[in-house]
Amino acid sequence: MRFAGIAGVSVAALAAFAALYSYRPLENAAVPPDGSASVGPRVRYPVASPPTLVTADGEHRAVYSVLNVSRRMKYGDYVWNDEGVPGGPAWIRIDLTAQTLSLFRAGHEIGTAVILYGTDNKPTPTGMFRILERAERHRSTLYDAEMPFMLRLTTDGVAIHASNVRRGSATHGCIGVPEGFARLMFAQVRRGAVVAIERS
Amino acid sequence: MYRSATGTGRRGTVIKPFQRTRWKVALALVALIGVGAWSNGSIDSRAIAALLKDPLSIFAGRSPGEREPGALTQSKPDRGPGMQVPHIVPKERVLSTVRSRPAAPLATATDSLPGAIGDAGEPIDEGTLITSEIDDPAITGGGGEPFFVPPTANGPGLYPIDNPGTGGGAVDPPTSPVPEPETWLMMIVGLCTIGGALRRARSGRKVVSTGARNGLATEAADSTAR
Repeated sequence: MRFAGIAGVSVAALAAFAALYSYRPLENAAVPPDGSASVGPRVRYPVASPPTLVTADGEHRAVYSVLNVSRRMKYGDYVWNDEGVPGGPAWIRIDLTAQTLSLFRAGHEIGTAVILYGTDNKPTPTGMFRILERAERHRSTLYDAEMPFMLRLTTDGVAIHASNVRRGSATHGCIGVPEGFARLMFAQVRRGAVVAIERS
Repeated sequence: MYRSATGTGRRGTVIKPFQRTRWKVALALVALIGVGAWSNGSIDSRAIAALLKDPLSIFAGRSPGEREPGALTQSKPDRGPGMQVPHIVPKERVLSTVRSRPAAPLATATDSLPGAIGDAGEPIDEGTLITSEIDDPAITGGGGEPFFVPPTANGPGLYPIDNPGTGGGAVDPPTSPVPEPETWLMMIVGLCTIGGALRRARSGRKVVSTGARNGLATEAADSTAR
């Protein structure tokens, strides 16, 4: 009996040890060539009492599920998963401090990406905005540059558009997202969708 | 293998319930650390705590962190060999530096065409825009907001920092030391448990149980026989 107990404990310890040393850092894991991070299952919250995100206008927006991203995202990474998510109004939450963007549809997060934002001299404004205009191919009149999948936020040139998201880069006030993510997000949001930009 | 305390086994076999407190504590501790180590193999320890918390904690766990100082605006694409660097002093672009606006009611989707007067009351005067001397799209590049950035206090260069690769040659998120503290603790607890069990088995100590009394001597004899 005692020997069986000792053996059981040893097996449990060895199994846990093997599990731990079979772990490889996620940074070394293979990343799909399009830069998308691993898409795991969702983190679902109780439908009866979901958590809420408070935006700058004071509104509490319920969150029924978020994407379970299991590692830190890098520049150029994005995650997209809208399987099983019902249709509904979409809104975007941008956190400049965290350098991330989250797209919600019917209270479920369906996409997230690492962003670029404005430099200190040309900062990105914070607050509540609406999508004023959508353009799949737009050329900036101020900078004579392509802005694919543009979602205009202000009348003075701030918009969300596809960009080469990489470390050390910034914009003149716009929000830059990877092109694959910009294409997906462009198909989801419509004019009038709410965009909340904040600094956490 | 322990059997049910309510039943009896074969003739002559003592059925003892699993009631050694130390075994329970040790096994529970090892199992707990093992489960923690197992799940740590697939999820960052911070994400484990974040998964149990609110969405903001989850967002913070996936964030690459704050931007490093000195970030530059996107500029022209990488230069090929033989491409000369044009010596051009860029003119300042006209873009309002007022970024903190008072809370205004959200505009509806039917108004606010580009160029119209917004709620802030700032008309767009196309006549004051200064066109750039850089007209060549190849120089200005694409896919962003390209511009020459003169040396400022934030950084020296005119061009963005070369991307060192997908791995990122600059600061990486802090990683836990290997082996992790959970590993050490689990190993020590396991070794202590095994050592204590071996010591008790070797000493042949009698165990008082609530099982059948007539089997007590037999159990002691069996243990010493091992």
